[in-house]
Amino acid sequence: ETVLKLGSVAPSGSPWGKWATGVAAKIEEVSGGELKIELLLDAQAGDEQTVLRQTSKGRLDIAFVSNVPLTLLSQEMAIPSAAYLFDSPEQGTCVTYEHLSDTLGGIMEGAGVVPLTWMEVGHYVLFSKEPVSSPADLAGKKMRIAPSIADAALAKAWGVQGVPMGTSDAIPALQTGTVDAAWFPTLFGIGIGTHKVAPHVTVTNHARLIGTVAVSGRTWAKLSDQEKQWLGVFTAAGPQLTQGILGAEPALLGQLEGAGVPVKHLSAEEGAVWKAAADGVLAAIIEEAGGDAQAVADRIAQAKAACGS
Amino acid sequence: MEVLGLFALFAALLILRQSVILILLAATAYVHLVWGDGLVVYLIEDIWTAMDNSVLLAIPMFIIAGALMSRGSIAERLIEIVRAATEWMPGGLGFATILSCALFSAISGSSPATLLAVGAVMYPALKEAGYTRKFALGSVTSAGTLGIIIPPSIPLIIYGIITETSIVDLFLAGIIPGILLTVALGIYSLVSNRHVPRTRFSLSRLMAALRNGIWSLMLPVILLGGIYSGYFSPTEAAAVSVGYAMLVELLVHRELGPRDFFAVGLQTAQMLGTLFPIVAVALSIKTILAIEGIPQDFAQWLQGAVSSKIAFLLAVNAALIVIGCLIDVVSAILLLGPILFAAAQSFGINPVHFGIIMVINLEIGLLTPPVGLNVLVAMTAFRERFWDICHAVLPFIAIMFAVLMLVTFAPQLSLYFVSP
Amino acid sequence: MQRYLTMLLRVEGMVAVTAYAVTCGLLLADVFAREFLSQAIWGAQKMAVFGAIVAGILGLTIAVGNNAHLRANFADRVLPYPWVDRLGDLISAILFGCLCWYAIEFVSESIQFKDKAEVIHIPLWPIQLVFPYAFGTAALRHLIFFLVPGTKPEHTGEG
Ligand code: NA
Ligand code: NA
Repeated sequence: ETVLKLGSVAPSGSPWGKWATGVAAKIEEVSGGELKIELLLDAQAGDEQTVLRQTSKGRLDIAFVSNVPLTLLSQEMAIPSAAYLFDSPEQGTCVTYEHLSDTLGGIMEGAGVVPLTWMEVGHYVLFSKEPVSSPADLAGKKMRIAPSIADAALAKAWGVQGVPMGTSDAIPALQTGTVDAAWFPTLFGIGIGTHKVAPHVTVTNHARLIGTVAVSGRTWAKLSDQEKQWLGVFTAAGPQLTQGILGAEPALLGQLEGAGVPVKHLSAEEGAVWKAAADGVLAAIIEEAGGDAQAVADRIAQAKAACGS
Repeated sequence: MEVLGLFALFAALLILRQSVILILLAATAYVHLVWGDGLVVYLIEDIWTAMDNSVLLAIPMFIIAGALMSRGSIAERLIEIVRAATEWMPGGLGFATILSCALFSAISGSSPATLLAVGAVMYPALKEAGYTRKFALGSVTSAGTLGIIIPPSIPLIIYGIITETSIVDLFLAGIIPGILLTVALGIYSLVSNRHVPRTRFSLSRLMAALRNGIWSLMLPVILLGGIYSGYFSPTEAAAVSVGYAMLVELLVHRELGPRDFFAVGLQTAQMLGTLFPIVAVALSIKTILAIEGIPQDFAQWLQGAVSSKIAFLLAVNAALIVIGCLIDVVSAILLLGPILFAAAQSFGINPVHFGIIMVINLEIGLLTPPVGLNVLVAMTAFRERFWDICHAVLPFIAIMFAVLMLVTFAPQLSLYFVSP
Repeated sequence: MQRYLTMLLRVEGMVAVTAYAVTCGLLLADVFAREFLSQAIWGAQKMAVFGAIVAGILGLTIAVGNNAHLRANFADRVLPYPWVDRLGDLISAILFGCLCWYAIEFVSESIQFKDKAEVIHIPLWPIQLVFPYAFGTAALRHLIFFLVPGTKPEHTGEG
């Protein structure tokens, strides 16, 4: 019997935690108990950066993380989360599952982890203290951003002052007014109650955060072909997670609206204004990331063409 | 057998007069070798991970600010203001200490930071005003723990994130328990110090103190105001205190020179060099517990062993007090928060209420040996003996425990302000 | 020997104090830039954390040099002989030597896996070098205390 330790910050009760629990049970079932996945959810094994670092060194066997710490392996990993990269959610899903492994898998293996599948984190929406309907409303405001080049580039393009800070600082900063607004993946942002301090939700859906399930290179080298095949359950289950998350987003926003939280849905024209204002973000990220960023972006462009809009 | 080995190692190193840090590091290395993956390099990695954390930045900054203020005269002048304002009341300065901690807790999310910021002024003030060393130590060390129950609170944020509970609701829920704790500790300090000699209230003394200490008085004003109006975060406030203390001592009071700044920095580095490794050891032990799946086993056992809500709550309180002795607050929440949370839900306990119960429990854990962060910080900052502080906080622990019971069995105290 | 030890302490002290000055300066500059220039200083907080790490870990070896580490002395009665102090220094030297060894392994893994800092994306190993340095000099200090007991200062810590 082989036991592999999986680390993640996903709460065990969240869609991600439940998905990982289901996949682990399935793997134990198909392998007849030969391969077990021991889940260390809820940040028990540390923050995302620590989980990834410990996975590449083999202290953990599997990392289930967003692409934010992946940019530490290589800055090109920021590209899939560039604002307005995809023309539609369907195109994004197609590119992610059909083409991303060819594009980014090599970079990850070079950094000591083998990707099994991509993980859906979901679309970003905007939480603000005052109503916001166009990027012009953000002028002179302070926006909490993740300390990533993708977020910094977008803040700059939208003409808002980006204040980089960790997730745990965001709520108090919104409360005291150190920042006026923040963007988060929908489910996460609502889950931690961001709408209670910044009650105006603008459904910008401006970018999509992905992540990965990746095996430590050191562990991978020790696994039998049979065991590697069993791990394929992760790969096969990836799209279900996407479906679950993308389906839950409008439902959750609907619940907020029902509870009287002002949720601003953008019309096609309004959405186009936000998108136009973010023009040049991808180019800025490519320049900032350097390395193979241009090549990665080109391959994603090809993948988009192959997937259609 | 392996446990015996650990005790033998402990005893041998103790007899051979090794420092506490080396004993802890060696014992943790032993734990890695025997129960972990057998790789001691992970111990070093855990020290790095523990220290690579912006939350800890406030500790050296507040220690430096405190040392500058007491080496110069900011602290002295502040002390005179507080004494002039409170010494006419029975136990007044003791009460003022508790209140200052509560006030600072309302801007700081961290308990050691609260202890350091208030203790730098109030600890010497209490001793000068004739309070016992025991009360002085006990009150600042214990009331400093209010930092994590009165919002904002770093542990409540962490609990909110990993259990997907609204952080804002958790903050609202912390208000009444925080006030209750403040009142209970305040009453204790009034009653236990009613015989401390008093002075007659003198308006002229107070006015003179205020005139003399206006620059000192501006420091708390700037801190509170700056954080409340969103100019800076509590961590940044620590740096602002250092900057302000330097400016005032250098330009206004003119009692400090470059040599003093050097001495203060050096002293702080040495203090943290003796403190940080202990915090890191707690993190390393947490990681091993997590990887070995011990919290899951414990929660399963607990759910099987108790059948009523009251028994569950009592068992959780007991377990958290024990775990609070061994590991730090944030690690304990990461390890046990989600697991106990799931069990609590099966007993119909409100998630927000449960978060408050956890945090008060772990707040008590900040005062219990061997890993009681506030005790360790007080020991380094005030240069007092570990066991003296443990002894000094005992009555305060008893009061906090009574409030914990009240909060545990009266959920409406936590949920009064929380929207259903 | 004594002079060498004193000088080393002074240099380490200067580096530690400078590191704290950088930490504090960066945090203040970040507040100022954000509030008055509408521009955050990218990575200021991360660099500030590194400053505090360098100072804190140097503090560990400085505390060894000043004989200021916490020590529980209630068990001293078990072996009440003066030579135990000296033997203790030898054992401390060995333990710190082992920690130094593992710290070197830690840093070389960090180099091998190209570990980088969040936000600012600089390699971590130059900062992490402070670990083997601090453990190594702590071992060296204890070794000197063992060989030349006269160089060991009076204990200044509590515990
Ligand atoms: Na607080
Ligand atoms: Na404790």
